[in-house]
Amino acid sequence: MTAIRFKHFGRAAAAGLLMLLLVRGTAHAEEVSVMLPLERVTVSVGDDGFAKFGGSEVQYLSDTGEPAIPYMIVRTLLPPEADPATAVAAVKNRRFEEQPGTWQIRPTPQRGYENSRQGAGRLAGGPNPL
Amino acid sequence: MDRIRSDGKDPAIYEQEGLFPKDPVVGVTSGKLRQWQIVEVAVAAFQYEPLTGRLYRLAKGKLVVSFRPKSTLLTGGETQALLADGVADDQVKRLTVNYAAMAPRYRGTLLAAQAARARQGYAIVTTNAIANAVSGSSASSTTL
Repeated sequence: MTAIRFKHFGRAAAAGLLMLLLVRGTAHAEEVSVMLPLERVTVSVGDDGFAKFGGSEVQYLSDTGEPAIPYMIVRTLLPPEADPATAVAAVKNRRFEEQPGTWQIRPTPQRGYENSRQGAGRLAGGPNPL
Repeated sequence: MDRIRSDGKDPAIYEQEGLFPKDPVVGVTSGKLRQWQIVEVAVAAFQYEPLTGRLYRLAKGKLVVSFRPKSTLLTGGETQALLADGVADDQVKRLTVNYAAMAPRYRGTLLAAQAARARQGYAIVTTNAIANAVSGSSASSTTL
């Protein structure tokens, strides 16, 4: 009987502790938000038939063999009391618009080769401004 | 690397149904420039469906960066760091998208830390030079 009571007490205590951790964990989370896009990245068909992207602040971060999609780099300040190691990001309420036509996106070349190409980003060895 | 075809394409992406990238956020990195804490997020400007050739542009969205506060209060060194010179201010202002909204919080944290120390019995003397640097005003004095 005593063992059963302890078992139940243990479960209740564990559930209570879990709830406490969850409540504490969610109560202290903060966030900063930024409306997107920061700039309109253009796309057109190049002479070689592949899509050609334009944008002043984009980088190409895909791995070798993956479609060379441009990425916008968004830098946000966190408050001084924030722990940057806990930062996670998501794009909410997002809306994508289909671009008319059928597109061919060039695969991302191997690193090194990319260094000699226009539009090479940090993936290709470019410096991280941070 | 063996999986890459002779045309340079990864069949795991180009021969599969679905969008690339699946999630528009592909990376979150953080760093510090003087006293400023900066998070860098890479967001895909497009999503691509290789099998159909369809291309989608990110037309609208809200990037949300969530974080937790540090588990400890600011140390004396960190508080002093908030008093650091304004060497990087222009660079941070240019690099980041929310400088105007966030800069006052850095100043506020500094003043709060000074006030907390004063309550603990420390005598804090804030000179005009420091007060001006913090508040941005040209002629003011602060007594805590």
